[in-house]
Amino acid sequence: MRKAIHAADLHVSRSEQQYSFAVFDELIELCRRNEVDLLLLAGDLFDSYPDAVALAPELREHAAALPEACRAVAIPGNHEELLRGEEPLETIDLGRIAWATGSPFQRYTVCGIDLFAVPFRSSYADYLTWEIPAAGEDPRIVMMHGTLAGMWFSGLEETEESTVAIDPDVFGRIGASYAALGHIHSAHTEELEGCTACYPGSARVWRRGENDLRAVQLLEFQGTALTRHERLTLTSAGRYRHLELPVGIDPGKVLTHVDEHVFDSADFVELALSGLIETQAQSAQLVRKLQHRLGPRVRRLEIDTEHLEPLSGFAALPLARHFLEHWNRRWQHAASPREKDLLLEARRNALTKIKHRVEGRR
Amino acid sequence: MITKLHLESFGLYREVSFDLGPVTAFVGPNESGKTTLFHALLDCLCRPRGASTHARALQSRYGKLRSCTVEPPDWDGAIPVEEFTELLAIDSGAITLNVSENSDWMQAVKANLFSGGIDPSAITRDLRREASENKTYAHMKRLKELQSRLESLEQERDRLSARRAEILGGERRLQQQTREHEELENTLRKLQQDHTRLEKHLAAQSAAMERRRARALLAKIETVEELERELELRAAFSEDAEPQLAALETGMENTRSHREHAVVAHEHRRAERETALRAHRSAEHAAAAQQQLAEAAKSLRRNLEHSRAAPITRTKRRPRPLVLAAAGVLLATAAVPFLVLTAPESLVVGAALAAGALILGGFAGFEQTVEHDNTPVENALRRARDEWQRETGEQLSAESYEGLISALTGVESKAAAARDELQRRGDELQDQEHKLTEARAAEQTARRTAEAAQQELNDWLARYGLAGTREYHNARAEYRSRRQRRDELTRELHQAADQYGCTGRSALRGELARLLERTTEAEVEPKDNEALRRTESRRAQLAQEIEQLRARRDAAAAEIAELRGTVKGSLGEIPEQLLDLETRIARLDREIGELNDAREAAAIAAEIFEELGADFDHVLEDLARDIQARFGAITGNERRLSLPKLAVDAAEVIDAGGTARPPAQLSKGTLDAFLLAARIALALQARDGEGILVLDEPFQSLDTERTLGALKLLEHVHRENNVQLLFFTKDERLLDACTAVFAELRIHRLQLVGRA
Repeated sequence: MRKAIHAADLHVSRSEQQYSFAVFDELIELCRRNEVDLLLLAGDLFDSYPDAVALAPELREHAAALPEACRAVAIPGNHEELLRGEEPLETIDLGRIAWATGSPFQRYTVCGIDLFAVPFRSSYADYLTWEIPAAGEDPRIVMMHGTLAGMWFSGLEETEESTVAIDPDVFGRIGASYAALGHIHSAHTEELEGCTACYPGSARVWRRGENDLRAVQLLEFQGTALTRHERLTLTSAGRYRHLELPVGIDPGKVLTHVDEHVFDSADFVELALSGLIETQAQSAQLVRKLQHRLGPRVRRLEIDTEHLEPLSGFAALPLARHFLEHWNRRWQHAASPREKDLLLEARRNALTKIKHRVEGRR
Repeated sequence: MITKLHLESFGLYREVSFDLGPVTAFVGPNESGKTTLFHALLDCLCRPRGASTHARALQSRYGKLRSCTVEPPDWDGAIPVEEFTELLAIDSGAITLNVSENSDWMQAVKANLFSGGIDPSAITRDLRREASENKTYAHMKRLKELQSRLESLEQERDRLSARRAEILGGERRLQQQTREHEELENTLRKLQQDHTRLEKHLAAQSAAMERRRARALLAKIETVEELERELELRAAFSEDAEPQLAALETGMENTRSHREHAVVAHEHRRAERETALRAHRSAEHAAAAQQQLAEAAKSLRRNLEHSRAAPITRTKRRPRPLVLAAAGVLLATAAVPFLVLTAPESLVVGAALAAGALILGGFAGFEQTVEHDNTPVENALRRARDEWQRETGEQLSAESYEGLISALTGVESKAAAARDELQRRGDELQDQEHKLTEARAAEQTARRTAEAAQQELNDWLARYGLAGTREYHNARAEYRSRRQRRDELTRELHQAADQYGCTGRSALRGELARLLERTTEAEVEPKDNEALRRTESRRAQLAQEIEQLRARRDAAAAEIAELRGTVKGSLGEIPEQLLDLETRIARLDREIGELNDAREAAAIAAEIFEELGADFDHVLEDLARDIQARFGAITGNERRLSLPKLAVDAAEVIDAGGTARPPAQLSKGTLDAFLLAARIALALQARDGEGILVLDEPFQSLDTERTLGALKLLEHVHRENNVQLLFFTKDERLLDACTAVFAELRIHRLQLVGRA
């Protein structure tokens, strides 16, 4: 039986150096613990080209901890291209990690696994002309970085820079039984063209919206077949936590509400304050208190006050008071996240309307 | 604030103006025009219209042509009549409170109390609009637009997907066709090799066959020549003499048959003559016997006739039965040949036997006895009879003489008849003899003719050197069969010569000889025609298969060429475009989802607002508290009050004695204080913005203390809520109190009517 770990989008960066290396170390530890033969890094190992150049020596040191028997192959992703200019990619030395830069792909045979490592390119459209050697006995893995055309994942990638499409036909053409993919930061697995195409998701929380636990994919091959693949959580990566905090007549209540949650020190927490508050100063004060209270407990804290609007006399407004009483009753009974979302939206809308009426009246 | 009331023509007022301050008091005795001014204010502020009670009342009292205005003019008609009369104005001290759920001012009161001046129903309306699925609303139009965009994007995506599938299909097809083409080429090569091998084999077989055929043809030439030689030798048989021979044979047959007929006729005649001869002889015998009997009878008759004259002694003959029987047997035996056999020898034997019998019967059959007749006749008769019996062996039946004579005469006649018969038979025999002679002559003629015919046939056959006709037939048949065989072979050779392109037998022979010289014996296992046919059919099948494969290969090649023209070896921008479309679709999906969520959220918010609208309890509690506070301000002490659902009739007021009483049981002063407090509270809640209170003798039932309390309450309301106050009174004390309470009081003293 042969084992491989497939990780992607670690985004090792100088700005979050400690955090990203902690995750990398855990990845190495996972390889050791699972006695893995092959580590696949499917692009965006670094956050940018300058990050790659600056952090490659440290990465080499960390990678030296890879178990003897474990080979590692990384392909450049679109982030290694960022700020690269005309600088060469090939010269980056990752030590134990083989840096696949051959075009259109570089082939490795590791422990009877036939690996096609396809470095990131601005287009894979010419894949029909690639000379694919006839398949042998070994299971084939193709490693690529880009977005699968035909399986769009809504939400997360909305703000991502322009992406490169991968046509799943390429998997069938190569005859791969597993496609180790990178670029999409949320996890997705799909059977395409007789191939298990998998995005393990980014190995660490890179930006807001990356809700799930960060993980890598553990693969097991028996003979020529992929017999098992499962997710292994990277605990050091923490989580992205988004908390909706509806501010009521007593703004101080949100502080106790926050206290009810347990956070990991690696978590990236975003608080979304919404509702009406007497003054802007009160709002700023609330934010300060939240930062003071929560800031030291988490890796990163962001507080969104976009939907927290000031309205003097708000607390004394009978209509607002009555509305919030009724709303709170519903909020307490809301079960599903969707119900809560709708209630939050209803609250925002209603309070905005009250605010506008009051201001119009004045 | 209303600054001026101008009466152009109203009741008795003509072109009169009153400046109004924040607090203004109109003071005057009865009929000084206070009520007219009150009505003018009502007319100006409310402008009652149409058939309403107030409009009719004003019209009937002040006429159609009444005219009054206020300044600033935006107060003109600014207050609903109902609100004015029931809430803002107290007319002639009559303080009433008619709380109707439906009145606009009551709604306004509630809204104000409830929402701090914001109308929740307006927000509910807004939210309902946002939640509505009515197509005319902007968000629904937007939704529709988004959906149509989504649809077109999805169509575009589907189109692109189809294009992608088409390209990949073409690509796959190209690969497949290329593979298939290769396979076809290989198969073709293999089949062609097989075909060539078979062809070679067949060619060898064919050469061998050709040689065999040549040899066979040469042999046939030999045979033909041999046949021709034989035919030459048998040239005599070349012409068909069969009819001639047949005629001869027929002639011979005819004479032979004629002769046979003559022999039969001759034989027949001979037999007939024999019969006639036998009949003649028999007649001769019968005639001889009858003659003898007749002789005896004649003698007897003569004896009788003689004896008639003398008795006679007579020797009698007695028959010996045994001898006679033996003679009878003999005679019978003698008769057999005559009856059965025809051979003359047997007739002779029969005759001899008969003669023996007669001799035996005649001589030894009888023993002679001499009898003596007593009477000559009788004796004669008896002798005659005996003698007859003796002579003939027969008994004469006649007893009498005459009878006997007649019998004897009969015997004599019979003898004569027998002689006649003999005569006739003799004639007949002679005739037969004659005929026999003729038949013999005819038979001899026929024999000669037959012999001549035979001789002629024999002579004909001798000409061919043959012994019999059969030999001729055989020889002729043989000749014909040889000739036929020769002709067949000649025809075959002729055809062969044609095939070999030469004329004549010798040319053919030369050609065949050259062919045999030219070719060598092939080293193939000679096969029978069936095997060759099978091989050939296999070869033909192969050829056909090759043709089909060629067609398929060519088709594959053509398709490959065509595909090469269209397949670019790349999906081009399609995956990117697909991804872009999918992104846009996802974005639109999200936007549509957000729109729908917003609608749903608006519906939830509207629902909450509707719940709030229905939830009046706390509103009314607020109002009751307000009224209670103002009531207390008037009465000078804290008065508890319950006012469920704002229904005045159901209200309970704690009176001075601490008893809860319904309004009807309250003293007039307390009731007025309560209603005044309620009115002020309600008026403040009902009016959004600047307020006004018009008070015509409002404190009639109140004592001085409560009047002062009420005035202080009004002063507070005036100050805090910016409410303009207009007092109408005839009471100077009230004017004094007002002067004391209000810092700034404008007073208009009214004279008698029409004298401002």
